[in-house]
Amino acid sequence: MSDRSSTAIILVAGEPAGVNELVSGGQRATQDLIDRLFLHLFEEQPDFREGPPTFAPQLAESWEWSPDRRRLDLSLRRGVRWNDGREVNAGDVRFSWQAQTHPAVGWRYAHLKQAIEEVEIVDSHRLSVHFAHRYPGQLADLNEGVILPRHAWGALPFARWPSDARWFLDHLVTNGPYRLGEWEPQQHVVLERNEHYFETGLPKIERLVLRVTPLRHNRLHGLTAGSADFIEQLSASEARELADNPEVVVRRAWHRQYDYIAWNLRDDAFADVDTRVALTLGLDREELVSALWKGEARVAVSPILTSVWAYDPTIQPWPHAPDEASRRLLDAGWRRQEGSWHRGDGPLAFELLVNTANPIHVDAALLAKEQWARLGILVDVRRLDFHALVERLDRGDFAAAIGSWGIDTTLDVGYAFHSRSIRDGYNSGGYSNPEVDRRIDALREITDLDERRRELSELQRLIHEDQPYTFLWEPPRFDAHSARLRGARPNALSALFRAREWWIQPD
Amino acid sequence: MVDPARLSRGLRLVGGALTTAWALATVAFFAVRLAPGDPTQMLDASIPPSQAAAQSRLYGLDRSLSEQYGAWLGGLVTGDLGWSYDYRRPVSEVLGRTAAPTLLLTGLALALQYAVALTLALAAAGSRSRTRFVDALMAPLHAVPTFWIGLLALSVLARRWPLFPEHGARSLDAALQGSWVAAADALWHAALPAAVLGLGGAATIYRLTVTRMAAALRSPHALAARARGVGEARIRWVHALRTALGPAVQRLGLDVPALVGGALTIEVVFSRPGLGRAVHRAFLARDIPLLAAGAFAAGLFVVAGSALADWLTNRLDPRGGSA
Repeated sequence: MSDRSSTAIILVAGEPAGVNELVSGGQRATQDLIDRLFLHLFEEQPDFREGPPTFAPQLAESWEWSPDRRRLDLSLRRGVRWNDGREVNAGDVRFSWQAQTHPAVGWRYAHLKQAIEEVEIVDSHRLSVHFAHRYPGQLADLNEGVILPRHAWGALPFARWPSDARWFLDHLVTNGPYRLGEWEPQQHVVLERNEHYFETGLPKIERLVLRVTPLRHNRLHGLTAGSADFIEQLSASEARELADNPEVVVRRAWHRQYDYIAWNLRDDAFADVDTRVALTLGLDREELVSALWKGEARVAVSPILTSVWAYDPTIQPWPHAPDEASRRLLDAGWRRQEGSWHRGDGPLAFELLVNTANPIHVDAALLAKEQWARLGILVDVRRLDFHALVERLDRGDFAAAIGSWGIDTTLDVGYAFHSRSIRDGYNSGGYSNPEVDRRIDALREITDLDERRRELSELQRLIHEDQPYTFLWEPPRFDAHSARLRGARPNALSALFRAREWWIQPD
Repeated sequence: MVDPARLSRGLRLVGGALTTAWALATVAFFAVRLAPGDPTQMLDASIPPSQAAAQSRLYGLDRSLSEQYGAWLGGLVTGDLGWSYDYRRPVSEVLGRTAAPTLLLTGLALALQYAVALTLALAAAGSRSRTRFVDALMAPLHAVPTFWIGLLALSVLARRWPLFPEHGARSLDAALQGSWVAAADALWHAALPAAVLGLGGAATIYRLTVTRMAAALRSPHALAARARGVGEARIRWVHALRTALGPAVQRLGLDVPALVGGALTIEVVFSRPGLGRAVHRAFLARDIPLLAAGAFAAGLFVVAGSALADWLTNRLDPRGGSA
């Protein structure tokens, strides 16, 4: 049996899909594994509350921008080795970029590399990255994706990459703090310390075991019984239950996520701002947060999260104000008749779509229905399978739907709020405001921090006033670990952030 | 010379099997393909839908339904079940590696189910008090959901008194300790999940068997045997059991697919690897080839179970009746 004094057992809900993120990426479990096995050029820091995220050196030891910020000169760390003994070099970085952007590979994040024109090898440890233009997220985009072993994986033509994930497992060469010890399908993945890892004294824990445990109840029991050391993504009530357990430490961080009700602006009922604002005013979001999150979440204001540097605190959430909601409905032409609101031929009644597999969203829909009913607004909650829900959104065949967005630190809200995203994007409700479009486009070019802050503030204000969404809440994330596990700092980037620095307190 | 009647029967059998396989393949394909969603469907703010469309093209999902159906049938004929989008490897490889733990689990469960049911029926038949006692014992197993029994067994027999492991199909380092140790370890891991999976069905088979057996013990045939001096044990174990087995064996056709279906619950509760979890993951990810192949395989299990039941019934009673 494994020696528990040098092994940390992490219970995960799902199994990683593979070891090559370009063909097997997308799931958290896969990313958790790959980030232990491979290095990035830089390490993104979780400091986006103070300003745009900074990057610490990882494989890249130093870097320097050209004056026009279209060329980045990189110096790679010397002496970093793949676990077969070969030194990591500039050829690996260029090969990784080629693989990431090759159409036959079909990496889902290939578009993030669009602005990179060339990755030029200067010598074995120096490169120049050429960008088509300067923009705020250049470093983040360059850093997306790990550096791959050219000497090992270059043997397989790119055209065969998507169809043969097994090949990468059979030819696995890694350079991260851990190497793959054993992979038992659907059971566990054992990671063992890479003795040649470049950071002296790291990783501190000899073995990390990712144990696949689908049932939440079993994950909780594993932690409290002492047979596991780390579990991810607890609910608020589970976190509260564990809070008094001296053998367990609960960690709380803010997700980079917000939950919302999307309105279909093509529907006459929601085409005007007054009606949408009235619907938000009629909703007691503090009550939702209290009931569903035990008060641990925050009422959301706009797509710019209150936990990021660009949030403008002068913009406050719409309050719960039923009287004001009624006044707004009257302004919008609705008239109260026999307990409900009517305009033209029809009443203010709509179907609210919700993903049936998301219990918090289902509960939120039922509570919202009850709150709106008190105001005379009639709601029919319709639970749908996730894929059926997405299909309805894609077709624009909905009135209102509950969803959530996980966002990155570029703070580009074009995905759902730019009118171009009605055709190619997730602007399912058909929201269009030329002023919002202009500012989103401008923000893609502005690199000056103060100017970005001003533009983002205006953008928040416009979206807040338009209410194409009713922004519900920003959820926290709860992770928990055994008291013997030290150094864990789960955050919005990853629950296993810098797991190489974890250690186990001897008994 | 080939007997024409036998040849005709053989051809009918082969034709029937092919038709059944085609019908299964067709239902599996369309049931999966016509459901909403596909594996490239994403709701990721940092990925534009055009990227998903590019992936659709890469995987051939932009081909017409008839083309995809033709490719699916053609693949089945050549033994190619397609390629899993989620696992990025051949479907046959995914099914192959996950089928073994499921087959071990369901095989053990099936054996246990029949062994327990028939033993209890033999013990209880003919005695009102024993029948009442066993009835009372079996009723909860019949009524309580497997999921709940699984959690209870896990809490009591794996956690409170750790007689069985609570996780997985083998211990972390079992493979390093030799094949016999590894085999024993695999059986030890499968024992409790198999018991939970099998016991629910045992209650049903027990009910089917015990009344039939009691009637057989009271039949003129049994009376005559007693009059001939045949021992009570022989009458019970040979005559009555053979008579009572008919309905239980006919249930086999239903039990095999039910156990394979029930294995999903058990695999989740006991964190065991298996076919059920692979197909469930395929459902969530809309991994169409894996899902279609899983549905096709499940259909084959039903057909195989029925065929096995028919064959055993005929062996027990060649007259063609149900004994």
